[in-house]
Amino acid sequence: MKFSTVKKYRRRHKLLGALLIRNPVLVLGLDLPFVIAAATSLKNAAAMAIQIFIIHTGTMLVGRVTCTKLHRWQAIVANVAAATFMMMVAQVLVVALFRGISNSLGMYLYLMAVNAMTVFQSSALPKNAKIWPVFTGALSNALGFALVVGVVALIREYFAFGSLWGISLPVLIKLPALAIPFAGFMLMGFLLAFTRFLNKRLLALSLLETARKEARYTKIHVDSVETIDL
Amino acid sequence: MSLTANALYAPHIRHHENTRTVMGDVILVLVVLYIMAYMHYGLRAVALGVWSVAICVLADVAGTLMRRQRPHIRDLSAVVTGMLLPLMMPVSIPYRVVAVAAVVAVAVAKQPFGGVGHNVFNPAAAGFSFAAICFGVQMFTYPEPQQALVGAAGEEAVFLPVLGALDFVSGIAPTFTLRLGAVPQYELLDMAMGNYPGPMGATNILVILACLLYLVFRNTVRWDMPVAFFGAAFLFAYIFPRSQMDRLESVGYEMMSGLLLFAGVFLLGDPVTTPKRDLSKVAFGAVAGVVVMLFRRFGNMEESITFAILLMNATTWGFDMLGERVYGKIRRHRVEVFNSQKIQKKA
Repeated sequence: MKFSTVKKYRRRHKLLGALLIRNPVLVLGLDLPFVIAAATSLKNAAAMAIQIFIIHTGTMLVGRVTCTKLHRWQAIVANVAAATFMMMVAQVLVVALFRGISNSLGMYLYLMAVNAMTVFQSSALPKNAKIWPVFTGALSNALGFALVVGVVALIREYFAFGSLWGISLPVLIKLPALAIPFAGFMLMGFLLAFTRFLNKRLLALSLLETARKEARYTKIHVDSVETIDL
Repeated sequence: MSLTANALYAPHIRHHENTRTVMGDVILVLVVLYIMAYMHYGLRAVALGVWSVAICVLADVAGTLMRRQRPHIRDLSAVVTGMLLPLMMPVSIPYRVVAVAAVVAVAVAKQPFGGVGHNVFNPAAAGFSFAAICFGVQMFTYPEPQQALVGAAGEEAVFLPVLGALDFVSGIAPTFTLRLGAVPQYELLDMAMGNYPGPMGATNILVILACLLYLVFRNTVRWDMPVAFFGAAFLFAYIFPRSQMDRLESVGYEMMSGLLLFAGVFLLGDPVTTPKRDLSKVAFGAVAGVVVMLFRRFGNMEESITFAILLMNATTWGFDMLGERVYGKIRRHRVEVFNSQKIQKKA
């Protein structure tokens, strides 16, 4: 496989990368506890997505400053303090938007302050990091988290409780076990497998497209290119 | 060990037993249990078995195809899983519950790990556990065996109907009574004969024991693990009785109630999800016996043995590793003794 092709593929699927190829939850395994234990309803998922959006983006911007001004260990402490502050701000918004979310999310509402994605990524910023890529990267990571937590919560709420966003819907068979954390692990496993399959498929399509272009350029018969296994 | 030589195709030296023969033996004894279930509960027991096997086989084929491999229905592993599941449930269980359990058993506990021979957890135990969490009421409501039950249309029927709505008188299972700390109302002899409400295949104690003997005789199940398992459970029940009665009587009720005997023979006997070495097997069986009794004593559910087995399945690698270490030490000791004897002879 040509490295230039892979690079081109990554550049082309930049947004898709944050959602699928380099998804912080699906690929890096960050913030798994929130998805596995707390994502049992769409309201929970929305609350967590908003919180992560505020905490992660804000802390990453703070981290951009601390990584240049402070030592690494000092930067970590400052970033966690910033994340806690962001969590308090986000909590005010989330509690106002979703009634009863404190009872529903419990300690996970507060644990978001030290979520692995924010702590890990804000402390690993290079000293010469530019502000715009840091901001867009944080946004896309928050979006990736929101996607996974949303999908898991949707499946679990519908099949476990027979409702969506608290509205009852007809369901063939209710499976209350899906609301238990072990079902969250199972769902994550299947999501990971699906993402891997999708990534492979996208990469293969990209390779095929590039190979076709090269074949046209070098006047090689295209039939031989189409034998790439999808 | 009996081996055959095959000059044409590799592997050239083969054991007589393969997955198909082992599963065939298990199917044979499960058929006997289905006959007993038919005698106690009627045709619905058999229909549940057929339905479960069909779902398991379909899920297995679909899962294998999704892994881009050729389906091997002839290895019969899906059939065994399908036959085991309804036998652990009451005969009044709805078909959809069996279907859910079968799909979970094959599509979640077996195929994602790589299919036959690669699953970490026992598929039947996983399917049963999932169904027990989702459908607690249906899973632990047991009809009385051989009882005149009223059919859906109102006419008198001896057994539960194969299809249609169910109307039956449920009995109090000994596991429920023991969990409350009371004494079960059934005689021990009646329980040995299977005349008490419970899972449709797990109440025939004498038949299950005969099945165990057959499987041990056929080398399908090793004797050491069931003996260690039942021995540990026996001792635990003797030392810590759950209800106010004679200790031996308490042991009798504990051993004959619920899925203990059935799981000890069919779920713990699974060669894939249990340790490989003899010593590891014994240790695994003994620890599993204690864990099962602890789950029974402190667990929230009436029948939590499958959860204990799943927990033990997760520790199988540890038992294998410890067994290897012990055997390694024994081998080293033997070599040292042999070398010292050699030196002495030379001297």
